[in-house]
Amino acid sequence: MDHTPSTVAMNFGPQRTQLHLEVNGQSRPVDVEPRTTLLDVLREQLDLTGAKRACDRGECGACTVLVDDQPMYACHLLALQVRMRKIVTIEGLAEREDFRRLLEAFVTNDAGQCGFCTPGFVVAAYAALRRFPEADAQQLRWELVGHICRCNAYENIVAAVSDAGRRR
Amino acid sequence: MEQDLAVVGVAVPRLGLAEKVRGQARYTADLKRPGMLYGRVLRSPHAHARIVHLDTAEAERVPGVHAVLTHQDVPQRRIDADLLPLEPLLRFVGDEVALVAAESEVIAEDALRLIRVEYEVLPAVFDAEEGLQPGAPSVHPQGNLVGGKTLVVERGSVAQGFAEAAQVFEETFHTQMHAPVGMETRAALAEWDGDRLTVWKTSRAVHASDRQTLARVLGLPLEQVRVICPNMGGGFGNKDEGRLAVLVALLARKAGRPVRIEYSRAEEFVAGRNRQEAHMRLKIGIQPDGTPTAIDLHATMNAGAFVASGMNVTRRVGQGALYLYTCPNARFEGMTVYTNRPAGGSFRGLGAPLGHFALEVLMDQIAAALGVDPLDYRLQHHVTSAGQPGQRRTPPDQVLPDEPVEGGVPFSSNGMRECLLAGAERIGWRRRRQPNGAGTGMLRRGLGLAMGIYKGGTGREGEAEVRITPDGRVQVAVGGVDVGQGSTTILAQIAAEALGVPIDRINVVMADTGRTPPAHVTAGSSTTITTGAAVKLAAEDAKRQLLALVDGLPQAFDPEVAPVRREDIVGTARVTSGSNAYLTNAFAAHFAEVEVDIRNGRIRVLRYVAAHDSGRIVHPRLAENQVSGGVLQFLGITLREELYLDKHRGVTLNANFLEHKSTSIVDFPPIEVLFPAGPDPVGPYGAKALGEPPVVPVLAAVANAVANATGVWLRDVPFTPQRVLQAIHEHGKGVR
Amino acid sequence: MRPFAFVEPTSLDEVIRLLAAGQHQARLIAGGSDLLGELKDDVVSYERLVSLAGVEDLRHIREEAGGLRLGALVTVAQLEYDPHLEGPYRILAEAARSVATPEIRVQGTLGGNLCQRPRCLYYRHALTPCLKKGGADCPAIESPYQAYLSIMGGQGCYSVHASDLAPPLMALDAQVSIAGPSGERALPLERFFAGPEQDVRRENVLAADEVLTSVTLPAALQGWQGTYLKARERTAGDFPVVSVAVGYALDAGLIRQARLVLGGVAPVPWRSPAAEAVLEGQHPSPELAVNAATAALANAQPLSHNAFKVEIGRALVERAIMAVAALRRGE
Repeated sequence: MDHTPSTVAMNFGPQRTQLHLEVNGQSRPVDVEPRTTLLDVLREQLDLTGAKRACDRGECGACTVLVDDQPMYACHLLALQVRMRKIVTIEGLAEREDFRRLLEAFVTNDAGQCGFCTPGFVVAAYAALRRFPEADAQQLRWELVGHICRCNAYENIVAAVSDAGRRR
Repeated sequence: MEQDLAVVGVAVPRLGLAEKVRGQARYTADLKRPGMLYGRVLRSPHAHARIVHLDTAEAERVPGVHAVLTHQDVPQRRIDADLLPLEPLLRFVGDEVALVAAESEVIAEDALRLIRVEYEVLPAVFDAEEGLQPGAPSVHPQGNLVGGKTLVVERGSVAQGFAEAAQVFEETFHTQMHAPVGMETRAALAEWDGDRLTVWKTSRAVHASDRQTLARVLGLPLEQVRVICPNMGGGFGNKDEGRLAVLVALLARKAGRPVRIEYSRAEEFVAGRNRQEAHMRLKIGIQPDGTPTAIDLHATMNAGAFVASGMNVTRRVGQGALYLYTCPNARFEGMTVYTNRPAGGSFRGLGAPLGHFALEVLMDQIAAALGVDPLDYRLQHHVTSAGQPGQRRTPPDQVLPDEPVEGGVPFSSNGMRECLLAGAERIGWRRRRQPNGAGTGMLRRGLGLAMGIYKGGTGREGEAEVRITPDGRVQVAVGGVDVGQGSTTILAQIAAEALGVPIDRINVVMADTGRTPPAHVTAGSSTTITTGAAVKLAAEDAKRQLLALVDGLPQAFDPEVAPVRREDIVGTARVTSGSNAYLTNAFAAHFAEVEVDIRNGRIRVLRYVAAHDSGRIVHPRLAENQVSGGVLQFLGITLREELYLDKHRGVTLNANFLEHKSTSIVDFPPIEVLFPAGPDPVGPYGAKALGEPPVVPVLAAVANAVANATGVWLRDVPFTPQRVLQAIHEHGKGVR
Repeated sequence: MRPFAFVEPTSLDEVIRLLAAGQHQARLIAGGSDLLGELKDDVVSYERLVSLAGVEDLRHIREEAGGLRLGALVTVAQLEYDPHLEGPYRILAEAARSVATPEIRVQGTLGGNLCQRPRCLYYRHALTPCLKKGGADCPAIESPYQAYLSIMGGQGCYSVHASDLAPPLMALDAQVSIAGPSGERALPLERFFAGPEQDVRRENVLAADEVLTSVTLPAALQGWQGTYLKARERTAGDFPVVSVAVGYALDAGLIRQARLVLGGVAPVPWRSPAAEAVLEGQHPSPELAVNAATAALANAQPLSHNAFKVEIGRALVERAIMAVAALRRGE
């Protein structure tokens, strides 16, 4: 890009809006402008830093949250796009009773190294197990294909998610 | 040597993992400080340019902007010999021009666009070989050959060795630039309190690098600088350069508020530190029975715009050629060259995987030429515990280096033979392997193997503090960082073992210059060895002090029983690891089975066995995860990952996971990991390095498997379908 | 991203009006998975994004005239799982499954997928001007990085259309409905796409104030089945290097209604009547597959560094033709 000033009128926060987002079962007031992503809001305004900004391009899964129970990349959604939706983050899932089996399985199977990708994987795994309770390891793998782990702990992650699926 | 180990060797749960699973672990970019601003960096759009005019007035007027930092604002003290915090000369697309601190990242980015810069564009050079030509654009005033000379190390005389040889083989090899890109991008948060500076930073060198650099460049006494690395999201030997911390500190000082910068993924690819492109030429002479008489490797390394640790990277390219095979005459020549590419640095294994690629592929070709099974060839000629022939050069009272060149020194332990045999057995080598290129049809399968030798993790200093508090809990403090290799857990295990207490009493504090003793860079796979040794001794020191007050363990830890204690008991230790008498190296043998589709050039890895000698395995599960993770990481590099540089403008075209082709969960099979060797006499609990060795043999193991499948040895990494098809067609093995 | 306004109209008419008013500075956003990437990479910028998400009627898959009408806001994930997409339409579900990752499939829409911008690395980078972005020439022509470039020619710009849904939809003889200020129009999907010889700045015929509202699949031929195969560099997540949608019915063992459409090889999804003619009226066999594949790639004009795609394409077409035969046999 060239470094001459943009010819577009510089609006620092055109349509700066306050709105309410439903996050982890609570209605939270947040300040957004159109460019504000869901991830920005979660991390910077609500201090829910479990979702990570690892690529900001919808390519790696580290920012995954549930939007109306479906896993989506929070970095790749504008806050305004999801204002009527139900958002659940890793912090919200971690309070649930049916989360325990995933936590235990991840620890027992050593399914993480640096841990940066871990919350994203866990959110997606939670959704996959809810949706496909009988899924085998192969199918679970394909549900997790949208997540990158540079430490490459993949095998242990698959083992953990399969393990969690078998536990009750 | 402990025989009865209650904790070490047992798979205890990885410390801190539960918090990570729950999303509670905080990394640098998760931290916030009161009044914190967000920083962004303006980057050069040109590969080589001088700033002629820079005007920040309009950017500074933007509401919400608190400071703009340019080269005019920074002290002219060097971070490295070739690196100033900011300067008017820019050396690669992505080089740092200016920084903005503002109330949100969006405002900072908008302000960046209002900084007016006029550039004088200069001619640029992107190829190392071109960079060496007279008249090539000069990236640095000292010239493009870093250090002004070629690195040469030699044992014996390769000239003589070639003269004696019955046959001489020579080949060239080429590996592309690729990026480590851990999931966490570089980030730093700086806060001033008067003249006292605290920096949180994702770093593996808070003591050894960041604190020193900050103090020196900012002109502060060391005690006024504190650097803390909270959880770190992937290091891979990277993330040790000092520029980001310095710039964030300067920006925070100018703004009068704390500032946090988090690199975007594209910045991490381009302004992080990648693995240098390498051109290698290898020449090997052998006797009629195949015994090597001379091994001569030359490498030209493309360091990019700044060299950072590039000289170490270069040096390690030669490690295999110099030492993997028994040979009286071995030589390595390395040229490190500046170009206008993104800067290279350390990435897991440094140059060793590259040099091993050349070595193990050519050795495989030699075995084929001799009609000898490549496994037998290696069993006959790999370096043994006796070490290399020749005269010891290191004085007898000095600790031996663990990147050896000299002969006349034995190894403390050498499990290469065990690794070769165990790995071969597991993959079914003898039973299943066909001659090279024997397959027919569209899909061809093959087995290949490669060995690796790597530093053992000794020859460093480590320090630890073990503190027993009155409530009976134990805190272990070390300056290094857990990059994800699980060192927190391992050090806790070692402390628990030495103190005779359950591991849940132990809390490990790492990487905080305010609370932990100094440490070298978390590097060279040395954390277990050196820091572990220090932890062990510090724990024993603390235990001795405790027993002097109270009779007998475990009561000594019970606050009810030991009310005499009101203060912490602190045990400390400093250790220099290594031996005067023995070399300590880690060894590995990897075996790959591949299927090559000769119509579309795709290589599928069917099976992969990695056999490692790293002495006693302190934590089996973590160790397996390390090996598996390292192999998988490198398989991606072997088959796909490379940074695409447009050579007209010097632009990195694929600075993202999608187009850099990062490995996903469905790309490769599980890695079968074996630890067939026993404990080493030198390391604590008999352990040797394990962090980096897993990446060393991967390139060659796959190349040799492809050669077995197709009859064609690939010499250009990564082995993309395009390159595979080209190699096959050139070799005349295509179908049509 | 550069600043923009975000508006959320609740009717199609309002969407069109807002697009028209914004002229070329307004852009439609559905799921946003492609557009947000372009905005973040500073490839494009707009003053105003007009969200289509409020037009509820576009979210449905409905039976119509023996076939199906798919609303433009139907997500790729819906296509993956919807029970309507059985039998002849199964090829579309298969293609949907191959798109990107599960999370993107939940966000991305049918309309967005068909209107996606190219993946050429030079197009997608802010620092490399190119014809499609209004620049003077094409930097990709001599580049070694041509995996996402055409092997079927291109007239100055050689970026390919990378949609996974377009080839199967074309193989199903799909039609698209377009709404604009002057009303609705329908046209075959094949005529929706436009190569650089028409307008290098666009990849389809939509005007700035028009909206693709739905895709209609005619009643399918009884017994017609197809498959979608995709060659990509990684095992998952990637755009196609080459892809193929092929399908046919068998009447007394002879191929009828052969359709063969290649993706990732040309600026538009590339139907091959020549290959279809080779297949039509013949018994499926490996030899026939080879001949059809040869015909499909016969006029390939690879660039300096992407000839490897031709062989990949041939192998893929052969495999796909035989895979449909296996489907027919119930394997």
